[in-house]
Amino acid sequence: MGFALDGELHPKYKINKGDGMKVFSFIAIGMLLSAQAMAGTKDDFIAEVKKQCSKDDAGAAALATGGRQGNVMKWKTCTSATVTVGDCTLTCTDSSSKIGG
Amino acid sequence: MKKIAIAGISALMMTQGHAQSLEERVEALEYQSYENFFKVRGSLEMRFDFVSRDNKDTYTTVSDPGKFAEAVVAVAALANVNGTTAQGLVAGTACGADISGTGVIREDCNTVDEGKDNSRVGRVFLNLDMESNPSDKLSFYGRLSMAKNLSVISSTGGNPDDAAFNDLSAGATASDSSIWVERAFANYQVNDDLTFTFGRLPTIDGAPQHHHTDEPMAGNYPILAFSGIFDGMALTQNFGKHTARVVYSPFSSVNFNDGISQIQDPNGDKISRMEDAYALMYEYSNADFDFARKVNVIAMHNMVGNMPILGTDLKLGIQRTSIYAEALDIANSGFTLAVHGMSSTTESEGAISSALGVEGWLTDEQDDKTTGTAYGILGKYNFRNGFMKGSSIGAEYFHGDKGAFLYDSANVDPVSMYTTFGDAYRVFYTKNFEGGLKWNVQYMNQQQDYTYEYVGLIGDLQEIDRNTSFISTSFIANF
Repeated sequence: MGFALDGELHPKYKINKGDGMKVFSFIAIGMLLSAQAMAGTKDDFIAEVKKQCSKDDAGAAALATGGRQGNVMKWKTCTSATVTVGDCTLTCTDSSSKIGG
Repeated sequence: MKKIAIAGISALMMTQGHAQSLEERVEALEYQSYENFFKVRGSLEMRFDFVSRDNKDTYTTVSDPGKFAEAVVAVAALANVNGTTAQGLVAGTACGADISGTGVIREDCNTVDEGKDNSRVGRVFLNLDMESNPSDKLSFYGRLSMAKNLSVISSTGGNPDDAAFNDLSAGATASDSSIWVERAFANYQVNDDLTFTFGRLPTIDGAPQHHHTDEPMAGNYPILAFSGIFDGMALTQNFGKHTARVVYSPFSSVNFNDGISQIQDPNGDKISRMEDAYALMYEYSNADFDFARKVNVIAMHNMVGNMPILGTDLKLGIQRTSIYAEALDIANSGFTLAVHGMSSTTESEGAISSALGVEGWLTDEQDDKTTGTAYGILGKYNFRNGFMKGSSIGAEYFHGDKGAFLYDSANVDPVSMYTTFGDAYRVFYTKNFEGGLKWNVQYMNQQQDYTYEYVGLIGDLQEIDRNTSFISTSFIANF
């Protein structure tokens, strides 16, 4: 369908009537690309909740609420000593204040 | 399936808002995601201090050792006497007075009289923090800083950004609206556990200072290890909860007019343009204890070789061993405890001004060795519920012995707690408002029993009785 995974997009690509599956695939890949930078943050959040609050995978994932005001961004942009998400208190860290990151 | 596809398209259209093809929009998002490796954040603080000082004894400090020699030469010429006689005339004159009717004013010293003083200070601090992760192995962190007094109209005295040692606090000490590079360092991950770092390192604002404003640890060197901005390189090895680090951060002596010829001291001895300094660090961090949510320990040994002061034959060698430990949220109560201590051995060689009689680091003698200790404790309580939710309240105590090498170049308080030869305490309160605004208020009292006659660290030990207290309040926006 003219889409290469090396990042090249076919310049003449058109959406045809009845081509639902193709469209879905196209959108899905596009959304994956745009969300790529955030996926790591959510994984980091889940790992941190599991580590600091002894939650299992499901418990940590349930706390990983999305959106700008969600728990993932609350933790990512934390400028206080701690941030509380649900019943879990996370210690915030500042990599820019640590040699070695 | 179709519904999902339509919803996806609608979402994409809403984010773009103009007539691009789907293909172009996806491509734009793709490149946008690649560009996200560089981020800028920051903080803006407006701070007011109300300071009160009670000086109970008169004492004399040295303000500019070089002016003593200048005065001797001027008096010898005007009074038509030899150098030895002129030196006696200058030394026998009170600070700020006319020397034997010659019209030459003694400007090398300053007499601090008994009495009380009050002042009010307003300042703005800006930090622009940059972060970049161009690859999984490489990361970069930078901070551009401004620290200024409110709307400066005129000024007197020396600008702290022009003084000796200013590079160790550039951008942190209030002066004008200049922007300075406070930190800029790159980390290269050699493997999963070994990291190589180089640049202008995050070595100021260290523990326990972050507790006052209820923020994450804001500097890697604890205050009692060394509080100065150091340029250098480091190797960090992680062993799970343990971290070992070695830092090389040499000090430079610069002749801006000649970068190659030998620099000499007044005795004709060669001065090294770059003197070595090292730090050995051990960090321990554990969140698995039952008695506290997290425990952090930082033990350090700092070594400075033989650092010269240009224009004098004075050289400094220091060994400082320090430890910082904190237990966060003890027994899930919201209470945090931090302790820190330091022992220093200071080796001084030469003199800042033999003519004046002001000699070495922490001594009035040439070629001397001095030892001393300092320690402190801090307790803080975080409110999690009720109308105080988001607030923290705490208290801190510090004691410094005479003979300890106490240094805090990036201090922003009217007086530095951590350079007190005596005792100091503070109480503080911080409120985090929803959405990134913070309010901090603190009261601090410092009782100084000793000081050294030049810059608080050089020359004769002076017994003093000076009490300083202040109330400060800050609004801090994190963005």
